[in-house]
Amino acid sequence: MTEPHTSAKKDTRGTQRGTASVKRLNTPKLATAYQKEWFLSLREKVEAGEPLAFVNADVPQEIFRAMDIPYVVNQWWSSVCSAKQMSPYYLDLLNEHGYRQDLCRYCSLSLASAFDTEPEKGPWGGLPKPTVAVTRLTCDSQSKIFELWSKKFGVNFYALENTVPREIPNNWWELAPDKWEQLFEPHRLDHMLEDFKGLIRFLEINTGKVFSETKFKKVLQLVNEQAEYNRKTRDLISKTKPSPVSITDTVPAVMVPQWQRGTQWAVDIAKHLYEEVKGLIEAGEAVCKNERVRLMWLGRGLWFNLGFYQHFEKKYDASFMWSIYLALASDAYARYGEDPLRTLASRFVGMEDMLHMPPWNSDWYVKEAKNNNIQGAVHIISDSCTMSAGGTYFVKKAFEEANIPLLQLHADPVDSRGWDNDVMTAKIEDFIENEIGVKPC
Amino acid sequence: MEKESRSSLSKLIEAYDKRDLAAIQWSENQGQTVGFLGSEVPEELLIAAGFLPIKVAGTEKTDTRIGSVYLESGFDPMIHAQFTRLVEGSYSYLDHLIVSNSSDALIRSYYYLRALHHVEREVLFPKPFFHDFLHTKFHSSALYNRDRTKDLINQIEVWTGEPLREERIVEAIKTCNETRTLLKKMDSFRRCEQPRISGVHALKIIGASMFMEKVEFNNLLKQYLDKVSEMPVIKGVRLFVTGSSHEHTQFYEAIEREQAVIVGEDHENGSRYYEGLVDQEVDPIDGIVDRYHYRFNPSSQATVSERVASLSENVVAAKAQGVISFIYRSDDAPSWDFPEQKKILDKLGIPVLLLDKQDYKVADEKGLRKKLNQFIDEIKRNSSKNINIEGERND
Ligand code: SF4
Repeated sequence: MTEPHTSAKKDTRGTQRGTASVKRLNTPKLATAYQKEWFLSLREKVEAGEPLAFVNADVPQEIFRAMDIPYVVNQWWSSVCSAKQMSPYYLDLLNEHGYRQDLCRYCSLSLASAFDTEPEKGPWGGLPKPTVAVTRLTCDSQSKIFELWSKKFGVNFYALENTVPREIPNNWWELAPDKWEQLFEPHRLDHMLEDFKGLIRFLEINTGKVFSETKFKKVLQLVNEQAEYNRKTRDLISKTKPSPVSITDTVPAVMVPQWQRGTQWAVDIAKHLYEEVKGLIEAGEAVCKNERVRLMWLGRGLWFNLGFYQHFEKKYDASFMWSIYLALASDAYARYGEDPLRTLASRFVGMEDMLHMPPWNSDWYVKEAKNNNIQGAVHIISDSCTMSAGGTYFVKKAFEEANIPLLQLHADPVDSRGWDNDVMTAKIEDFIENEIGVKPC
Repeated sequence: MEKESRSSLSKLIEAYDKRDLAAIQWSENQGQTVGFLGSEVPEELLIAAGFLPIKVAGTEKTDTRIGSVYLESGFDPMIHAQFTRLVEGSYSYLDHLIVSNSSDALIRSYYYLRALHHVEREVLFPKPFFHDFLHTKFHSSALYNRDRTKDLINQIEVWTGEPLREERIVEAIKTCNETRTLLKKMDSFRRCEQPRISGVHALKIIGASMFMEKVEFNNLLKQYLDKVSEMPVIKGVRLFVTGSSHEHTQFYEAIEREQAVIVGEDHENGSRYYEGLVDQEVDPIDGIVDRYHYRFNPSSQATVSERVASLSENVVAAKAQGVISFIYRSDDAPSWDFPEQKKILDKLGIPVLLLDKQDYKVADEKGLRKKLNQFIDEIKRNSSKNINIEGERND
């Protein structure tokens, strides 16, 4: 790897503004070690002439897996840059090119890194040059970011459409795995199926790769196996008091494999996580042996500061034991059906509704809060992202009705420049002490 | 004669300024009114059903704090204003409400409006119906849009209790096309060498067509246009407005007070509203879908290069001497367009002023005036057009 820069401007590269987490489990260590190795081997492959796809998080990566097209997920790369404390440097570059400070920081870090004149000095040698870019039009900025990005590299990009439901289902999580034809309106599934076929043809033409139906079926099966392990892990944690793990452990242990889904490695690591959590429980291990508060972290992870949560464990015996990542991996991914491509469409067609749209998300949060015996929820809202807003009024109302205290905080999950650790800590402390009613240990 | 033209103008202005008046009168006369949010709602179908379609809009008097109880700051202030007017009950006279997917913020507003119906005991607006209309130009989108338009017809038939007859649709298409043709003609009196219609008046006239009955609007506009060539020429620096949309005229007024005239704009309450006719020679549903699908996309639904191409084309056609990119806070789409738009305008030698992170109402009139003055003076001093004034940032 190249040496760090020495010029004044480049000194900002890797500025430490958050703290890394102390890991309780071995699974996240295995996962993070694997992702680095995987990325380095991906670099090698791409340098040897393999195609590379750059995709947004809500793009059906299973299709790329079935076509043997290596891919990098936009938000995963954001989280890596952020964890490496490089987001201030990259985002400053974006601003220097005329884009305003608070513009879509969560999704624009990769574009920002493309403005770097020394891209090889990025995390793990930087992103290799892609062959194609694929996004989904779930907000106004996606097509802008991906078009700008693809033009920068002179590659083609494909935008998948996003459709909107008219029906509000009850308990979507019960219907999602097998009764998804009931859950999603047929015209939305039909359209997504067509869109996926268009994507496959686009990839065939642009990468020269072949879509293997046989491999695709295997990929779907592996994703379901991974989701089932995640579900078992989530269920285990939810009913165990004190909680054996916190989100500091589970977020990397779930999200690294999430971007590798459809591989045997991802199934194995999900299984490893389950067994490790089970082992901790059997050994009587816990985040806080004298657990006094179980907390939920609603919204995106604080990628540059995953160690943030540990302060509250020490001070209050409070464990942040729930995040959307494991819960969504448990409830939103498994799909069983006859037609493989339509089954895949059912995984993606409502993802945005489940995550960000009330009452889909608010109902689900409350169901999860109850199942996990949650005593308080901290909801992080990024003001620079319409998508992450997620119906804060409705979330608040749902928690009020469920009698669960909720704190709504405004912060950007990847841009550490605006993060004030002391202020945020004080707000959560105040919430724990005065809303939940737990004093320091 | 000039007097006659003025009186038709004042009626149009009145319809714009008192934007609920026509709809309330329509309701009182037992007609059904349909509010629409978003620019893909085919007014033709609503008119064919005998409804009065009314655009849901804020006004410069709207206190957006009410909307802010429900919407986060990631939503732009125009959406806050529209949402406010719905939840505070300004549109309680509506029989129906349709939302389409012109922007992400609008789509999310639909979820919120619908969720309010789901969780609140009392709401002061009708249950929203979503018209899901896709913007990519793929064939699959064109087919999807046809099917969703048929769904909308089904919904309309439920509302009226009778089938929507084709001849009524054909008739409504004719009326709406006439509106567009007349507005296009009005536009020619702005883009020509000697403009006779100000930007403020243009914005009000275009807006009036969304707040009143179309046949009446067409008659008034015809009367006005018959005499407009006799109106005095408006002198001033020719400016083009891009960026966010405008549903009140405060900002336009501020510009035109400074010896400038707005000769065009590309937002949804401007020329995009009357861009493109429905083909009257084809199946009416095909004609309607294609017209709404193949217009140039608003910033929220377009790629940067589409916006760059459409801006440079429009600015050249309007013979603008300068461009103002006015962008509401949290309106991310035009902010993504701006740096590339500036590059092309620089190449064309057309100066551009960026007014970023703006509020719904002009907050700092003095500050705005100073910026506008500086920009306009600079253009005047460099009449050769080969100048380059840096856009200002408010970051
Ligand atoms: S609005 Fe949110 S999801 Fe969309 S590009 Fe911006 S940061 Fe990403």
